[in-house]
Amino acid sequence: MTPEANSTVAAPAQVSVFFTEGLEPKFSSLQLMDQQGAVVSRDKSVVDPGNAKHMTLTLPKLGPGTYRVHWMTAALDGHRMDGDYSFKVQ
Amino acid sequence: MLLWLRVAVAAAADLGLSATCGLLLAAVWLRGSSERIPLHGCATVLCVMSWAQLLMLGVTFSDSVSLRAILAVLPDVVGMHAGRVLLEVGLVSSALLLWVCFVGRRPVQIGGAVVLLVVILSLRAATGHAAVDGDFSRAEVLEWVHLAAMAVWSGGVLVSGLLIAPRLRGGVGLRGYVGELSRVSTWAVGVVVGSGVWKGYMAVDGDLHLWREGLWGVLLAVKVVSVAGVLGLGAWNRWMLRRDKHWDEAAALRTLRAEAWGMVAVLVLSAALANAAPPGG
Repeated sequence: MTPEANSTVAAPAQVSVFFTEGLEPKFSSLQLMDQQGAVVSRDKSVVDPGNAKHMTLTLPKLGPGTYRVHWMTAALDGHRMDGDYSFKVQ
Repeated sequence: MLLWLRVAVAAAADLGLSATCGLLLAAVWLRGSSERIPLHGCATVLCVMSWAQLLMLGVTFSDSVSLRAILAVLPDVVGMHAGRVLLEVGLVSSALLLWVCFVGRRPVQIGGAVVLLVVILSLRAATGHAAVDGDFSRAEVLEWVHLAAMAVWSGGVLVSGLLIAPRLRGGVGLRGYVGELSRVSTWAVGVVVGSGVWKGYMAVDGDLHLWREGLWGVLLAVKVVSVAGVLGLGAWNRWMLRRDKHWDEAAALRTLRAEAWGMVAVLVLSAALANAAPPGG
């Protein structure tokens, strides 16, 4: 994943996550939230048409602070999973 | 709560599939006899539970148990791989039910039902964890072999222990029937155990430590113990059948009934395993 979990980075232009299983695009998403839990990403995340295990989210210009990525996925076998990880922008 | 409802529906669908397979086997073993084979009942359970599984997928993806919310999300759900396959299973299960209801002539009815059951098994192999490697993958072929052998073994034991063998009690055909069941089950068990071990190894991608992780590992351990118990009872019955000149019919029926209830536990655990998150996922 980019940025990596618990890393400190310069403001990234996008979040990119690879999963272990192929994703169902309609029910899979990434969201970026700030420290207060407010959603800061405006675009919709996209599952890579050439690689169903890869999902990206284009980001607006981010200021310094801690951000949380929330991912929700549906795999080809119909199972749903979700989770979070954080990174810092310097 | 929702997970357990999903497991209950999947287990009921598996029981319907196994019982239908077992009744078809019983029909072959009892050919020429006038014994009634209640195919309609098991085919009905299989059909209803197959559609219920699609509805449960709708519940999962709508995050609601409201029928309106489920219906709203259904077009997207059947657009998914898992939803499309469950829709196909529902349609073929309905065709199977109509077939056994409206085709009365025994050999044609049984032959057609076997073909439809093989189609259902092929579709079922394309759902669950095996689906993630894509259609016609090694995982799906292995899943098909495992499912087919499991349906033969579990179905034969379930139907014989709870339905057919008690009705044959006191008749001359019971020992022969149990002999047929024992012979076919022995082959099916070999395939189930071999393909099951391979499936488990593939699920943890060769990392055997993952078997000890989480709910999936616990369920697998309980299932292995249950399978061993059912196998032990089956082996005991086969040994009694081959050893005794004066076969104890009542003891054989008791063992077969215990074996059948053990099989119910195995099928419920299999449904729970299929709905639990795989290790390392």
